[in-house]
Amino acid sequence: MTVEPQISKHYAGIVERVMLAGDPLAAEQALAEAFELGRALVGNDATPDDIATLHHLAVLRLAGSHPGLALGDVADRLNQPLLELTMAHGMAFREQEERQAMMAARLEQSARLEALGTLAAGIAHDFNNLLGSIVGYAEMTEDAIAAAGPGRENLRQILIACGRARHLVERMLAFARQKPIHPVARNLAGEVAETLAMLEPGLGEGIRLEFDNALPEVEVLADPGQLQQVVMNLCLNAAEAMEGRGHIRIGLAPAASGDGTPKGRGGDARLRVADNGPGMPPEVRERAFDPFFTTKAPKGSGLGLSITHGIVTQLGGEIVIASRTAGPNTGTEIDVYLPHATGPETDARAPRGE
Amino acid sequence: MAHILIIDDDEQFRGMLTQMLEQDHHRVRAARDGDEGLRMAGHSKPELIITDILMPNMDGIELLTALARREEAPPIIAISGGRRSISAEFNLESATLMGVKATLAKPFSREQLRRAIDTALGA
Repeated sequence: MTVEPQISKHYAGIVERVMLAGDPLAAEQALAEAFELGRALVGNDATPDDIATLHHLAVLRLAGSHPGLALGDVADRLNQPLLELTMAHGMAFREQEERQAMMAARLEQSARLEALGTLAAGIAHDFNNLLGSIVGYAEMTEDAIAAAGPGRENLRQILIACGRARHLVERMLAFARQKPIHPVARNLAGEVAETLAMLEPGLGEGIRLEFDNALPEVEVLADPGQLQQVVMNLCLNAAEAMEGRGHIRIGLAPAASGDGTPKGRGGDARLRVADNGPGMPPEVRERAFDPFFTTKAPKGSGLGLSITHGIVTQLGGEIVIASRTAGPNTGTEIDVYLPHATGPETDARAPRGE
Repeated sequence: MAHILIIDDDEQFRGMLTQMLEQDHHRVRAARDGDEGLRMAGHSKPELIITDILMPNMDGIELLTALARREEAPPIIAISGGRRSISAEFNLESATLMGVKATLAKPFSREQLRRAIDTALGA
C-alpha cells in the first residue's frame, strides 16, 4: 500500500514531538499515539516495509524542518516511535490473523455440520425403511414359532435391537434439526433450575452442582425441551468427563462485550457450564461438536454436544468451548450465548426445512 | 378380511407387508410406485390402500390428490419413513386432510398395523 499523506503527516508530528519533547511525560504521550497508529495501520493493510518507509520519511522531514538538529544527539529517541509502531502493528496483525482463522474454522464447522445434518436426515429415512422390513419379518417369524420354541429368545433380542436402532435414528433426526420448532419465550433461569433439579439425583453423590444465577428475569425463545436438552447434555458431559467425582458450576450472566465471539457482544445471555475435570486437549476440543465423535466409546453416542450445537445454532445463539489442559483438573468451560426474546415469536430464526 | 392395495417403493418392505397381511387373511396386491398404484386402484377396486408417502416418481401426496379426485376413493393408511422428519410430519398432516384414515411410521409393529387397519375400515 501507499501510506496516506495524512497518516504520514500525523506520524511525522509524533516523531517530532518525541524528539523535541522537553519532558518525559510529553514524550510518553506521543509514543502512546504512535502505538495507537500502529494498531490502526493493520486496518490499512500496511506491511512492515510500509512502516519502515513511513518512519524514514518522518525522520527526513524532521531533519529538513529542523536543520540545526543534530540527529546524533537524539539518537536514543530516534527509534522509539518506530519501535512502538512496529510492536503495535505486529500485535494487531497477529490478533487479526487469529480472528480470521477462528472465523474460518467456525464457518468450516457449520458447513460440515450442515452437510452432516442433511446426510443424517437422508440416512435416517432410509434406515427406518429398512427397520420396517426387519421388524416386520422378525415379528412374523416370532408368531410362527411356538412360545417355547427354539430361536424365540433370539428373535426377541432382534426386536430389542431394532427398538434401540429406532431410538438412534430419532436422535439422528433431532440432530439433523428436522423437527419443526415452535419457539415461545421462556424464562431461562427457570428452565435451567428445573433441569438441574431433575438431573441432580441421577448424577451420583460424587458430583456437586452449583447454580449461580445473575439473570433471574431473562427470557429466550425456544421450543419446549430445547433448553433442558442443552443444560442436560452439557452437565452430563461434564459429569462424565470428571468420572463421577467433581464440581459443576452453572452460571447465568449477561454476555460480556469482551467475550470474543460475534455473539458475545453484550446483550445476549451467557449460560456457562464449568467443571473441574481433566479438560479437553486441543485435538478433542476441535472435534467436540462433530457428530459421532466421542471419547467415551463404546458408551457414548458422540451426539450429545453436536445436538447441543444444533439446538443453540437453531436458537440463533452460539456455543464456545474454553478448556485448558495446562495443569491437572483445570477443567472445561462451555459458554452458550443466547439472544434475549425481544419481539414476537416470529423473531426466532426459522427452522431449516429439507 | 379386506382387499388391500399396498404402494411402496421398497421391494423388501412390500414383500414383508404382503405376507403379514395375507397371514391375517387379507387379499393383497402391491404396486411399486404411485403411477402403478393409481392404475391398480382403478382396475382392482381395493377396499383399502396402504401407501408410503415419500417415494420417487410420484410423491405420496400427489398420489393421494389423484385418488381423492376419484369417486368412491377407498380409505387410506399413510406410511412415513420417519416420525420426526419435518416433511413426513407436514405430509402426514396434509394427508389427513385428504381423507387418510390412519397413519403409521416405519418401523411399526404388527399390532400397530392391525389397529390402523381397524381404524381405517371403521371396524
